[in-house]
Amino acid sequence: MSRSLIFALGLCLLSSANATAQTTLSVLWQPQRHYYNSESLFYTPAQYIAKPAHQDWLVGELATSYSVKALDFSVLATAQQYVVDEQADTARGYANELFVSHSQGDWEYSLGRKISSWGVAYGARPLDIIQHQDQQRISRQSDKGKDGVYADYFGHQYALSIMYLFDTDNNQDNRRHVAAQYYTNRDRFDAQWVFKWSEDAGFNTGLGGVLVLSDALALHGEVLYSQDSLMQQHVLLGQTDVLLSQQLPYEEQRQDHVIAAVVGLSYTHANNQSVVLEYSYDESAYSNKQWDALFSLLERQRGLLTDPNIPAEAVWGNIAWSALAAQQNPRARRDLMLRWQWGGLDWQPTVTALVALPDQSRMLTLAIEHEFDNVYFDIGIRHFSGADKTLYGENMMSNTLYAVVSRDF
Amino acid sequence: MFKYWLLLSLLLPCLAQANADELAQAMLREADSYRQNSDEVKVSVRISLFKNNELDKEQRYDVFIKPDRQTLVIGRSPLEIGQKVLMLDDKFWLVLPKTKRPIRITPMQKLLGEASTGDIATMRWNEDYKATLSAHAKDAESGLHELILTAKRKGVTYKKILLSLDPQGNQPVRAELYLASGKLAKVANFGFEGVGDQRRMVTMTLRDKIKRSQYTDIEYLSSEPYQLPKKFYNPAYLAKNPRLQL
Repeated sequence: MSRSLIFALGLCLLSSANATAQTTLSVLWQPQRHYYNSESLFYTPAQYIAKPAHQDWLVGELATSYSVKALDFSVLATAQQYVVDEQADTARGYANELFVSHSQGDWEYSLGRKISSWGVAYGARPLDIIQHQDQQRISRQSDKGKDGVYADYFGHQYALSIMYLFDTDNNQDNRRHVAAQYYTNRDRFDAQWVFKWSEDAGFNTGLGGVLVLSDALALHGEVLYSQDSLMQQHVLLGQTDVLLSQQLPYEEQRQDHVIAAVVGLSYTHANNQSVVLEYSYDESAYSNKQWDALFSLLERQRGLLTDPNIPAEAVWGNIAWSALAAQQNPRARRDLMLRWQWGGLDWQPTVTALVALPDQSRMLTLAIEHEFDNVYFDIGIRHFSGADKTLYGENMMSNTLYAVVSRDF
Repeated sequence: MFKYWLLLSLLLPCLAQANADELAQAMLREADSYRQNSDEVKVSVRISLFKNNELDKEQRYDVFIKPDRQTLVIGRSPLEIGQKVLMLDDKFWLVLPKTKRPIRITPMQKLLGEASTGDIATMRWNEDYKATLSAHAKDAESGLHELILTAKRKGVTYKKILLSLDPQGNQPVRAELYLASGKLAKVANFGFEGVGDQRRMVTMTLRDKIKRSQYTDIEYLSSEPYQLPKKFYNPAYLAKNPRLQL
């Protein structure tokens, strides 16, 4: 158990004896069932790659805050049990947030671990440069914050945040960042400017905002410029004679002057139906040409399986490496997201379609939310589809059934 | 001389109309005082949804109101714990405890459970509506006074309200709430407790004109003067401090 968690739990216990403390406990159960696409070019037998059929997370999140004189303590701690295919069973605990803060006039200073979330969009959020959240993830667990020193100023209709962050998790001393966010709200719009500088990746800066067009319609958008971006590149792409690698064939390649942007519209009808349409562009994702080259390589690698002179293990190992890399970053350079939601009294259905525009492949998520006796249920299915040699058509997973059951105390 | 008479004959109806409008606005101010009798207050509210006369859902909120249409609504029910809706003028933000960022929302997105934010976030019609006396200022059958309230700003949930007041002290009795489309959305009835200066509104029952089998009770559980620091009305502050001790 990490030291930060022990400290967090200590503070939680202390807060339970403190009359001014505010404490909440969230319990989540998140089972998922996965089905795999045996026709996929990424398909690999189970002995070469982990392909869990059933994953289960049981999560407890304890949040508390309390004041001692002029200092405010805040803790968000997670205890999690993870079961995969009813065999492997791991339990772990960590502090998502653990910080002390002090207010002086309109300034607030904090030291410790804090979660930061920037940006305004729904499907992809380029401005989220401190700790990027995958907006397509199913899990509802809280993120783990970043350690640092924070200064926030809250003025009339604006706020300024400045932070110095040190990434203690990765034990990489060079991962130090300086970041800032300026936020303002006006009559019809919210706007923010973000900036981050790090020793290893130069600077990122961007702008984003929401413009309320009418009672029902809002326009949102964000754009981020990155001086440098690290991209996972397959070293065999573009080579004609070498098809197999003896070691991990991916290496990080530095890409200069990268732009990512999102623009979208949200509409809400008086009957509680809402629609979000969003177009996103990201130069750090693989281009259609790069995906095509990867699919061609995989096809040729699979052709080697019939060659008796080449060990099958070597071929499957190479395919598994590519499958893992693709799983970590399954994005197209241009995406379109359409989300329909109905906020009914008893049931709240949601349909989300993410279309990779270069190849028209799709990720479709159908979900329904329901509350019963203060217990929240979210049940859904995610389906990947598309033609051969397309991003989601070749996805290793074809379907995921999931549920999230949660209760706050 | 004829000019003066002409001018006077034109001015008199205007003056009479101005007097009638001022009277209507004064009646509305008195009606408001039953619900919010201080400029800065904390009001604890319970919203109960009844279906076929049986309790279906219940939600609790604390509402912090400052002058100039500044309201912070904090969810207190298990399902919405830590959820906040901030209203500044005609602007709305939703702050969810796990998102750590303020979400600017359109007025249409500002629903809180079964009641709209406007039903609990604004407790003074006088700040949002222009009152005029209805053509039949006094309903012949009920003897109630009738005011027509017309929205004087964007962002209000109902564009028009027909408000019936008890002639004794202008206590609100019934309100018909109309949407911008002119459609009658809900009918509200009000309940009171106490006598004299201590008399205050304790319930507002909203009946949907479409879903006739259900109704919503808004109970004002407590109301006390409360001064919340101004930084709490900054969306960025709320997002960065999800576990406010209030």
